[in-house]
Amino acid sequence: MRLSGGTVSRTTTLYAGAAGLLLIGAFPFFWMLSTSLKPAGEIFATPTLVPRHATLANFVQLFRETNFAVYFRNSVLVSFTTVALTLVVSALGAYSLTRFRFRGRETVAGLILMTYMFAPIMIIIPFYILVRQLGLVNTHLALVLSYTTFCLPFCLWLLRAFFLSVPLELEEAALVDGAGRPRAVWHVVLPLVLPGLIAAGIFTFILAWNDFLFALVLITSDELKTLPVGVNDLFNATIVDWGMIMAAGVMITVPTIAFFAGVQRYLIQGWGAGGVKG
Amino acid sequence: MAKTTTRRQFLIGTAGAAGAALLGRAPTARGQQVRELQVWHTEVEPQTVKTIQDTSIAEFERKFPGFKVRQQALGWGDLNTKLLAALAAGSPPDLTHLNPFMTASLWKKGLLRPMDELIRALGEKDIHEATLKLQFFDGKYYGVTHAMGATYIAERRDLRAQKGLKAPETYEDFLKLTAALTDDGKRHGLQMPGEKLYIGFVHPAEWLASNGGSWVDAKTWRPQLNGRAMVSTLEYLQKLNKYMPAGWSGQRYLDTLAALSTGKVAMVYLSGARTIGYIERYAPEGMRDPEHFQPMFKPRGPSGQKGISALDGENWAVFTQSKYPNEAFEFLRIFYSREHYLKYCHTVPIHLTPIFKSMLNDPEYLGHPRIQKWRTWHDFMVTGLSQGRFLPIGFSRPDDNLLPFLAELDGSGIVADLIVEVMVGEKNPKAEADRAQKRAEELLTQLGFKRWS
Amino acid sequence: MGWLLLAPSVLLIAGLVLYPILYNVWLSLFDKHAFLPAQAFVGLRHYQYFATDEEFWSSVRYGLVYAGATMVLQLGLGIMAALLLNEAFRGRNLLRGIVLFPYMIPTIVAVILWKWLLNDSYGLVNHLLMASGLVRTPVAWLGKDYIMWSLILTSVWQFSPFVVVTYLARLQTIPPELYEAAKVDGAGAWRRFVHVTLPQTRNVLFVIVLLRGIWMFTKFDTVWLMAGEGGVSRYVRTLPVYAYARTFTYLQAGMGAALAVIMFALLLGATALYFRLFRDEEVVA
Repeated sequence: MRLSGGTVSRTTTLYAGAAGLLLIGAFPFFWMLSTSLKPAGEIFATPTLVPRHATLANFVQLFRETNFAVYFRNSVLVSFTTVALTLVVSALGAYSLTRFRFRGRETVAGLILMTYMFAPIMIIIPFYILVRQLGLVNTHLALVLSYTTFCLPFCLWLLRAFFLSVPLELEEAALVDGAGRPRAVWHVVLPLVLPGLIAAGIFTFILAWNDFLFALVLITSDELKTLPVGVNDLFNATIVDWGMIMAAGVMITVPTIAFFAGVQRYLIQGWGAGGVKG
Repeated sequence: MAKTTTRRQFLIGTAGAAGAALLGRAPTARGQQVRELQVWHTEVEPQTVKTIQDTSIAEFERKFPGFKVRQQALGWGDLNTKLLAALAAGSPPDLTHLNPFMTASLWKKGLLRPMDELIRALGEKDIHEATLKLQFFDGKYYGVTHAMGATYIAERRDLRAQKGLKAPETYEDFLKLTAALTDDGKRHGLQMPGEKLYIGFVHPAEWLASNGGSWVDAKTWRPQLNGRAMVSTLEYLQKLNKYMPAGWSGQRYLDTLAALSTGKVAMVYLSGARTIGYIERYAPEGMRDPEHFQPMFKPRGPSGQKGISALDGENWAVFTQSKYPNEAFEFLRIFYSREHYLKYCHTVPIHLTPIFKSMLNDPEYLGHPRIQKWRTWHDFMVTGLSQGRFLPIGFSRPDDNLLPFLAELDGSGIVADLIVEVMVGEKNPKAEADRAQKRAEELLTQLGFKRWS
Repeated sequence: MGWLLLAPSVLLIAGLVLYPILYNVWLSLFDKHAFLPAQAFVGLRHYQYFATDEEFWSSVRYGLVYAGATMVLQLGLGIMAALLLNEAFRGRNLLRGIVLFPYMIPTIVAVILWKWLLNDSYGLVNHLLMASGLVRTPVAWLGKDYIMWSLILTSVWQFSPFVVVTYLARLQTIPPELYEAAKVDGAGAWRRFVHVTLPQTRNVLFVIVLLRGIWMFTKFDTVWLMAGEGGVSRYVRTLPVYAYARTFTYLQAGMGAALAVIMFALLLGATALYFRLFRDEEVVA
């Protein structure tokens, strides 16, 4: 048995460590929020933890004087389309990998997993040329397709693990009851793999929402830009306006955090089965 | 049960998102049926964009029903890449700004339309000589400058006056002045912008021009990066670096303007009339005036005649692939009509100086309150033009408009590495210059522009 | 039927990943302008050129420093944080969520955030350092001497959560009995970690190091956004940045493709070696 002194010091260490983690994880965000609420004068003065005269002027400026709202809309559009497409394609694929036997199945599965390791930077050049030949440069479709492709390996493997955990008997029972295969899958299998679908959806969303490289290379017109590239341009053009830039940071971060907080439990669950790209 | 509900909500959410996606696309699809005149330019200030919309575009759309003008403002650092990409994709804009250092290479490839008729209609004699012939190839005009903005040093005139020092003429004078204005721990004498584009292209071109040098040998196109003009400049820059903030190479042009306005530095190396806007916004009250802030010409090197600065003036150009070339030229006539053009120039006063000589003394042009208040900056600009102090961005000699590889030289960052290694990295100027020379020779060889042996 | 359902996935991956990879190899044998149609066959000349190109070797060195330093720090920090978050204390679940945030946000946000914190004139970090008397003049965090460290700091902050979550997921599956038994044997916390936790988490560490190693060595956006177009990029020009620059700023797509192939080959070699050295049992992904 340890002495009680040991327990106290253990508790102290634990909470000190927790406080440290909290500081590292959350303080930069707090500082971003705080800066975004400061008027220009305070930003260049001695820093204070909270704004002395909080103002929403930076946010107003962001939406009035820049194309931020357009970038935001584009990001939402591209991200959600990507999520929908990825889920459909990968659910079909994962179902096929777990329910059908066919030649080359394992080889294909292995190959797909291998592409998980490829970084976009390694293929961006031919990818760009290919997209140009297809006439898709400067379209959202090009972004959706590239994100879907890069999310697929992970989502397939994640969903494969979930489909494997659904006992075949359940599905067969439904089939015996007279339901067709689509109905059986819809009513029996999908509910059981829902956590996997949600986890895959979140990963996809994050990848699509955050991507910089594809958007940088594939999109040229301002009205089609997504947030990361749009905000980077904004940053280059208005670097002096730290308040407005931080306001943009806050606006990009909020949806991710809200989305994430809503479904956190699924995320951790799904994560156990693999990782996410980045 | 609970699970089913969640699934349904989830599926509805996804379907809704997909639906929204489709709806979001619809307007673009419909928009393609209207005839659209694509206009790209580099004046990103919101008030400029709005003014173009309210004046020239509004009138154009009235005159040409069925046409819609879509303007796109690009940072000029982006312009080259974006244009090349659009050309490669076969969908260039109908009318665009070009950086003068790119015009020649596009003209050589037969991508530009001549515009002599337009130039004559605008008044060939009235267009300022500093810009008129920049896009004049084989007896024809291929571009017209949208407005002239000069770059120069901006200084705290009050601080220099306190020290009783004259405006510097040579590198040596400038070093002394910078040293005198440095107040250890409180203020640095000078800050240069850290962007590769400026430190590795715009300024080096100026230094070469101010020190009797050039990018390449006029005949053989062999790079001249380790020539005397460059090496003696590097030695001077290395000394100058002591009076600059330690982290300048990681900061940007706009950071330097903020530093000048808030009193952290006494001079910034890259400034234009746009600086006035930052001074009026960020300088302490009581200092937002020309008594404290003034433009200053750049110094010349030991082998140079006079200090040269970059003339920031993109030119309008029309591609041969343009879908509506006639309408593009019509748009330009409207754009340059006195009434609209004055308003355009007034959106960023002095930075957008009219290209028409007759307008430079026009009371209506000079009547703008900001030009009245900052009149010395306007006069400075006019003096610089008449003394031949300005060369287009990236030009080391007037004839550089014929070099077809300046965009690649800029993009490679070879010169930026040279300057940064010598200034910040404190490397030996000659040795670094030799290295840069080797890299540049390799680059031009790879690009197929090697004419020397 | 099986193939039919799998077809969209296979088509996308084959068309948009595998084909580009092969095309990349093909492209690397040509002199090709990034935008204009002209191209000329040059065989292996680009590879020959890079073999003696100082820029290339310097980019490999910077890439190794960056990947190496961020890996060590991510692993150290991530494992410690995961161990902490595996203990029971109030607010643990909330903290688990918060710790993930840096990984969830776009890189551009992480970068502008740290650029602001590290800004030499108005940044909080310099303000605190000066107020506490640790330094007399502002430190140029984004200048030549510290830019690599600032980049590493930003990256570690951004990517450690991946280690935390992946490691934590495995930690939670270690049977408590193992620890109880070790306690009975009189093992202290450190020995329990070495003798129980480490062997149990060996496999997941193998995967973490592999994936993160690959991703850090090919990291583009953080490095580019931190310094890409600045003069200071000289001091953090890693291989991915150099490959990008060759294509999109030098406008030499063929050479850019060659660099991508080299990057690919280096990674393949490193991965093979890594498997040889460390993989002695079946690892399940």
